[in-house]
Amino acid sequence: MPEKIMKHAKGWLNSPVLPILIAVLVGAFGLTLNPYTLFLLTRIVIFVMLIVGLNIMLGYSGQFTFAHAALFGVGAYTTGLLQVHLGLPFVPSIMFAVVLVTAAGTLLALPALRISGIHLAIATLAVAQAVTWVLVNWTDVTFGAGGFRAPSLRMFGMDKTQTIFVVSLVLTTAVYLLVRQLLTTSFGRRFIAIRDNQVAAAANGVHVTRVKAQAFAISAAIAGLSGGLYSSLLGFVAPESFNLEQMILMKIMVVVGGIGTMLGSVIGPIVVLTLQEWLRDSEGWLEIIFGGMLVAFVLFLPRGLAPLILNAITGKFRSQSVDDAPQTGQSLNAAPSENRKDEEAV
Amino acid sequence: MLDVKDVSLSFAGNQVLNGVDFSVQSGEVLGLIGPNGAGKTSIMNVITGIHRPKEGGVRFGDTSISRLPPHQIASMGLRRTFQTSLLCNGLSVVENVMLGLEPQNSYNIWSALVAGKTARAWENEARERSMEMLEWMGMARFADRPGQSLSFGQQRLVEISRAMVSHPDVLLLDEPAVGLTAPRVEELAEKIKSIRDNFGTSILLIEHVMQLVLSACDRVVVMATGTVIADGPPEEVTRDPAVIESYLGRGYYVES
Repeated sequence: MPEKIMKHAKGWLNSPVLPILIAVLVGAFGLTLNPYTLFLLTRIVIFVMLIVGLNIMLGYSGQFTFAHAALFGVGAYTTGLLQVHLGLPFVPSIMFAVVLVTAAGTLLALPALRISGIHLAIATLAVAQAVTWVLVNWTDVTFGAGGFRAPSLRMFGMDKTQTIFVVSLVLTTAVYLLVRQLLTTSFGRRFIAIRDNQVAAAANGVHVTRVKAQAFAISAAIAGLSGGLYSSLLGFVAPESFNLEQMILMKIMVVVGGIGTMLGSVIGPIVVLTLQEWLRDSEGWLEIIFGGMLVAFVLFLPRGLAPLILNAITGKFRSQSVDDAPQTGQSLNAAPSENRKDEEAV
Repeated sequence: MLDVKDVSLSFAGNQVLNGVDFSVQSGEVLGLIGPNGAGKTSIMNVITGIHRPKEGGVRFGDTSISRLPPHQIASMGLRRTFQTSLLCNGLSVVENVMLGLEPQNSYNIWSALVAGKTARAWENEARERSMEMLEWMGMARFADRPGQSLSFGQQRLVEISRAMVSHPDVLLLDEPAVGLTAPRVEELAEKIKSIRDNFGTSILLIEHVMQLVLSACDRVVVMATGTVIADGPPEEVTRDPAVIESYLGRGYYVES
């Protein structure tokens, strides 16, 4: 019986119902907030989408890149500039941005086909710095270091923050569910396989090159989409929103939330951005606290907050089942002895 | 079936393989033995496309495979295991085995994103076939465990399941008996022979544990310093003075 409950609880956690329910609640709650608080909440929502994408690269397929903030920036700039320069509406602008950033991200996969680890980090860092340089210096198009005013989106009689909040919430929920689904399939297994062991993956017929390119493309498409939304939320787009410091902040979100977990991609931005807002007035402390946090998590909680939370939820059912069925040999606590027996049988 | 022709390989000027020449016949268990550094694993890496030979080549059936990438060679029906077991830690046991079916998987990303019909059908089929393979290996009860929670010997069996799930024509095993006690080695030998009998798979077995070589192999190739020094039935090869000199040692004798 408790096994059944546990299975049930797990099935429920994995169904789309829970995320949609949470999104609806957050939506209803968000629309009651004042514009400033709603701005902060929307920022979190957009970053959840971005980190879901970044986690595919860092967490699932183990590609250590530093170009994500730049891709996010290209998405924001493209969406904003197409509206400003060409007078295009928001929707085609952001769609074009997604296509462009996906293409750029896939090109970025080229160095990753030959190099990995620290070398890949440096190569992508160089690309990111080059992008920032272009944003600052190509003043005719990008308006340089001062940035530019991006048009805001307004729909359904809501004000601009409410509109972008609702649009971001719907799209983030959709991206979350689609990515979570994707990761349960062969695509997800291939990502994990190239992260854990490329040689073994290839020896089992996994086309490593193609899988890497897929990880980069999907991750970049999400960065482009979230960047476009971010430009509309900010209303003002400038290079410093997409520089190396932002990249490091994103990495902290991934590590704090839980690298390679879907739940972690949600928790990370919530924790980091809330903390950032709290510490807004003590600017100098912020870097020290985030730096310290990163070190502390890597040392003491390398898998981040997500496993702790998941254990707190499912662990309750687990302990119940162990108490109820100590003699059946079915419960988890019976496994170690079975384990030993089988070892003998090998 | 699998012909290694005159293969030479060198790393940074260091000649690792020097004109290696042997073939694996259809339905045969071929042992490959030799001292450390003889080039056994290197030749396996050449066969599976990890290294490209400097000279010579490898033919699989009628096709030359020595210039193909590893994943393509694997999808042609040539699978291997590694000296140190390489399961993916992020995947459960059954998911590790499902990885072995990758080349046969053809559904696209759109189907995967929305859990479409083709994706679901393939996922179910892959899981079923992987469970069957684990069942056959006697490992089905561990299906949902993370790979790293298993003992060394068990991980090896999962790795063999992963290599065998697609029913390849050739299976290459790199020291599968490392760390196993004598009775377990005997069971492994039985397992290897029944893989051949059940699936008709030809097997190339690199091994130092002579007990396994003698009880599982139909034929043995002996390598030393990058060349083949003997090739024949196990009982003949183990009496070869050159083999005794370079590998088995003078104190070696074969129990009959």
